[in-house]
Amino acid sequence: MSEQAFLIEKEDLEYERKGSRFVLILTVIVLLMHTVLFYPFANRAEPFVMGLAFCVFWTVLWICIEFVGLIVAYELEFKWR
Amino acid sequence: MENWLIALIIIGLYLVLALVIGMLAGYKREFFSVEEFTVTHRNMSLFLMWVMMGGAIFSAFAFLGGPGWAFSKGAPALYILAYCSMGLLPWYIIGPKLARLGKKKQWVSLGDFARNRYNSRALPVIVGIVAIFAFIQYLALQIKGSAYIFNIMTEGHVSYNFAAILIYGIVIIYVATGGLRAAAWSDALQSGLMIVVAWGLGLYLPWKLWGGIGPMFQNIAATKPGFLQIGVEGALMSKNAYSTTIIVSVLGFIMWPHLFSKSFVTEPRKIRQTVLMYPLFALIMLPVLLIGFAAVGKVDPMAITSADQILPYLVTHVLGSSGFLLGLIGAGALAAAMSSADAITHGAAVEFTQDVYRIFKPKASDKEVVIVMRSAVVIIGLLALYVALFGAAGLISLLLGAYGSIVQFVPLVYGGLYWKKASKQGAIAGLIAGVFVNTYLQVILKINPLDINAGIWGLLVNLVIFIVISMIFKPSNKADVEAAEETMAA
Repeated sequence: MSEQAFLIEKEDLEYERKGSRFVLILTVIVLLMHTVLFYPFANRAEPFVMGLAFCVFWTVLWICIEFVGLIVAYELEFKWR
Repeated sequence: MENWLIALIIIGLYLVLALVIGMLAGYKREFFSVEEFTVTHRNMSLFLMWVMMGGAIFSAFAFLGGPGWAFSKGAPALYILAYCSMGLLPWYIIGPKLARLGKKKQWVSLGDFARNRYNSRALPVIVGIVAIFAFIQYLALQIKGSAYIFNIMTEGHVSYNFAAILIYGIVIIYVATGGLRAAAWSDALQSGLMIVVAWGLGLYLPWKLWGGIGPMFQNIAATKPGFLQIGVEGALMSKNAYSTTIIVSVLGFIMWPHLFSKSFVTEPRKIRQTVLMYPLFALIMLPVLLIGFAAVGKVDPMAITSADQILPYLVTHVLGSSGFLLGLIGAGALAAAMSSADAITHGAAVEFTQDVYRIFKPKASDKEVVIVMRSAVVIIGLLALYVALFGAAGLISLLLGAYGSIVQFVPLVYGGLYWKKASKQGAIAGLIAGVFVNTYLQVILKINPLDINAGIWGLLVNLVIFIVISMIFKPSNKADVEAAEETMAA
């Protein structure tokens, strides 16, 4: 397996780049949610969600969305292939 | 039996187990193979990739600094969750490309990439020196943290100095004998242990002290306005400082040479699968912060000398009656420190040998290189131990400057991968300028202008110089142009 795993067809390289672009966009969105957009939406303690202060909940929520986004990116890429 | 003795036995058992697993991993592997010692023949399994990268993010900081931030600063501690969850995202993009190039050109380190792509012998040496300085600082923090915990959990019966030598001595032994494989296998034990301890404590302490996470946060919100916010009246961190700390940490994460070089230990697809799981590792940090929040309003900040001591304080005061729990928590905290220390010690030895020693002695045989690497583990280990136990203030601040300078590798890495005109002159000038600006602001002036992280200022200067000089001194001779084109194509 090991030799094969390092080779990539020209076509697949295109898909890999598409996958990368998807993740780049995801990275920018999630980074904005943790920084610039954190302040208008989540910079407060209330309301409490599942016992967590809202700012904590918001941060955890975007970690979960990031996780789902990564799975989508990965699945899409290998479906294209 | 006395509490401290039970705790000592449990921590002792954990240490023996870590040593045995580490040494077994390297047993009967090719002793004189560079590829084995540095990148485990580029075929590491997904399971080991996960525990290794998970173990790297959980350091002594997780059990000391993390709860300390939540306890003393409040909401700004969330930056830890944000950056840990995002730190590997850039790797999803550059990792597969690096893995292919690394396989083709036999790279094992960040310096290898710099030397090959820029066709430069000076660049890897500069990268290696900055990295080694940063690594020693990072290691000293791990050693200090774990020795402190060992000392507290055994109620002072094991001295701080002895604990430091014992814990780190074990790491040096298994890394020197087994290389990366030993570090990865011991991380499997260590990751499991620290996850159990973090979640156990993170759920139990808020429940025990407040009757649940909900009442805990409600009390903080009611009694300390602004504590759960950023950049408002009563908050303990400004918006600029918070945002730029996250950005600099996300950018810098994969620039740490011991993480960057993991691009070379497995195949492209497994790198993407490793990144996929990483946000979940960050969630493991959540209970660590809850531990710190649980202490707000229950522990007088004057009762401890620094915020980092909040977890040991809580554990000894709330759970102090059970030697078994003290031992288990101590072992979990040690596991967190050691799973970072082994990867860093290994990374430092590889950087030194591959990017400094080999540049000055290019004809060294494989056998000689491996002997130098294994010796470097011991020597760098002893240096870090010296800094941890006797480090002078001047030395510490020098190392601190390097620690913050890792992010300055960003332009040369991304430029090297995606910009054909990036040249060695640009990379070297930018890197030196960036490291200088960052160190000058952080260590000498001790300020962050406009509350923007010193690393970002360094990065801005670095980037401008990198681009301008690269435009002036384009890769011109044939070898330089070929190296650039080959990297672009992969």
